[in-house]
Amino acid sequence: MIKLLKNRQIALSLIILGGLIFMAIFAGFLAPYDYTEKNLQNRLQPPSSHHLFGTDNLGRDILTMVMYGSRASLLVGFVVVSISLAIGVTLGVLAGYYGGWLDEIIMRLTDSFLAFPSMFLALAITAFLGQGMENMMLALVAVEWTVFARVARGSTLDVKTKGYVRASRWIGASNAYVMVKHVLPNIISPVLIMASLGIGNVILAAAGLSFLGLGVQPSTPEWGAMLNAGRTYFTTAPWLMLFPGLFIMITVLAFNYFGDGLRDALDQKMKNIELEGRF
Amino acid sequence: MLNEYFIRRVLYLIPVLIFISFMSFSLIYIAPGDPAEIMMTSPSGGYDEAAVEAFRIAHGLDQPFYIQYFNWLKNAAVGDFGYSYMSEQSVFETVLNAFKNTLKLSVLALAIALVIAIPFGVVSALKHNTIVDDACRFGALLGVSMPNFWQAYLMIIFFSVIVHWLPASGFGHGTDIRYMILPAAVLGTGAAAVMMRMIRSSMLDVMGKEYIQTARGKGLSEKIVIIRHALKNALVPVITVIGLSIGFLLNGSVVVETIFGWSGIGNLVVDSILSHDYMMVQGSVLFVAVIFLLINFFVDLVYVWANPEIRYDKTS
Repeated sequence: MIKLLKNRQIALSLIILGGLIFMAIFAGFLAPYDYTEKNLQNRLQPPSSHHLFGTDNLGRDILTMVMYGSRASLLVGFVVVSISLAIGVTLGVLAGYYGGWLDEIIMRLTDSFLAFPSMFLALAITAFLGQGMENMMLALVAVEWTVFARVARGSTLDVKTKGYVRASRWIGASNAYVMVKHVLPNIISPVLIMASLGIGNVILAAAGLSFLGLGVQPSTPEWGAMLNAGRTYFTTAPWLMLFPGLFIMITVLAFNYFGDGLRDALDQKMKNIELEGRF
Repeated sequence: MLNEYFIRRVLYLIPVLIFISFMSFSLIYIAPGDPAEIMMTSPSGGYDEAAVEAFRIAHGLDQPFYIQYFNWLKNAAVGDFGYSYMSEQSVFETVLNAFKNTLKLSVLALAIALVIAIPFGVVSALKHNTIVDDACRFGALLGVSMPNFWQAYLMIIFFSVIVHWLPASGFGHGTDIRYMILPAAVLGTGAAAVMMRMIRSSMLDVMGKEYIQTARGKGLSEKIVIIRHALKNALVPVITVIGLSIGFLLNGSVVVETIFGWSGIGNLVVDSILSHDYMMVQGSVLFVAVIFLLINFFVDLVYVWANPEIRYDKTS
């Protein structure tokens, strides 16, 4: 753990991520204004000492909106990846461990989900479920779990051949015991790497859906939704789009940089697996 | 051996095709409410009772689920995806036309991506662990992390608003290349970032191989070693990269086509969702999935053909 922190790349990305999470949690204290505070006389003000990032079409302070907006983006990223990880790892480990027909069924199911370009699958699901944050998250889980299923299965196949797993089975350990005690701890690093890269991907996709008006609704502060609202004014008031976009990029970059560093530090075998996120 | 591999891959396609058709068909059932009412609801939210009833009977929605699915599948298999309730045009024809436009944009984007990714990927690998490599890698990471819709607006502001070189958006009858450059550049630079990273690692891999040492040992110049021996072999995985970037380009098309007003499949899906044209959404999604599946299938085959070593593992 300490060795990991000495890695410059990991340390730097953790500092940025820590800052972003801090900003999300304490947005209420840090933000200079109230995000619901509208002031039509102050609308579309360029960045100034009063409004560092300027104001939007309703006269709201953009810095404040960006700070509150980090909540939605980070929440979506963490929740979607956690649920996807739980589903994907469970299915992947079962498929890899038992093999046979169970493996076939699970992997064909994974292939079927992967057959849809992710954005189209997410769009289709939100289209039919209806717009809104929860439905968007559900759609993103439907896309994201396959990444974890494949990584978990691959790593499980690898671990299964190891001496300690075979030894454990010979002395009569139950399958469930072997999976939880031996397989899971040994596949954790590739899964964590994918999780970090996955959060970046999910945040990007969520922002895209909200930008299209199909995710988080414009009334809640969210970066993608802010970009959507700023579209109308992008030539006259480009700061409406500049800052939320910049924060999306910094956040996604930090998660990707972290995942990258983690991969280089933890897993030699994964060196060749590049960022092949679903989005 | 290749035949056996081929047959197995074709057999894998069957359950996947059945499943994706089932998923596309079931979409309408995950929507809260009655499918006929949902299908017939106008953008304003109202629907006509008689039209709903007519739709229900015309589409056999009064029949059991599996019969409905079977009938739908039978029609879809021969390219009959039904008619759009909004425009009353054939869904299949509309989707096909939109897809052709997306294809045009994707080809240009792919070309842009390769032109950027190959030189930078190779240089990054050759200057491994130097400041040049770090800069290339960081640039690629930036490219992967930048929201494409944001990049699109930055480019519009610069190229259309400030220097007036290119039109901000529009379709230009699908033939005017000026309308294609900006959207293709947004898609292409994103894809280039993904590709560059893969080319770099594949090049690094190849440079460590024995035959490169041998070629060097024979006294061949470094230039010949790199171009004739290393690059040629490093480009084999690029086939897979192209396959992967098709997905990347299709996904990107959703946002990019919407912003630039390019009449492709991404734009069609978004428009159809916003106007509640569910037949069109269903048809487009199934169409894209089948195409994407087949492209990946062929990419896999070409990859295996070019690289016989992996024929027997990594089947899934």
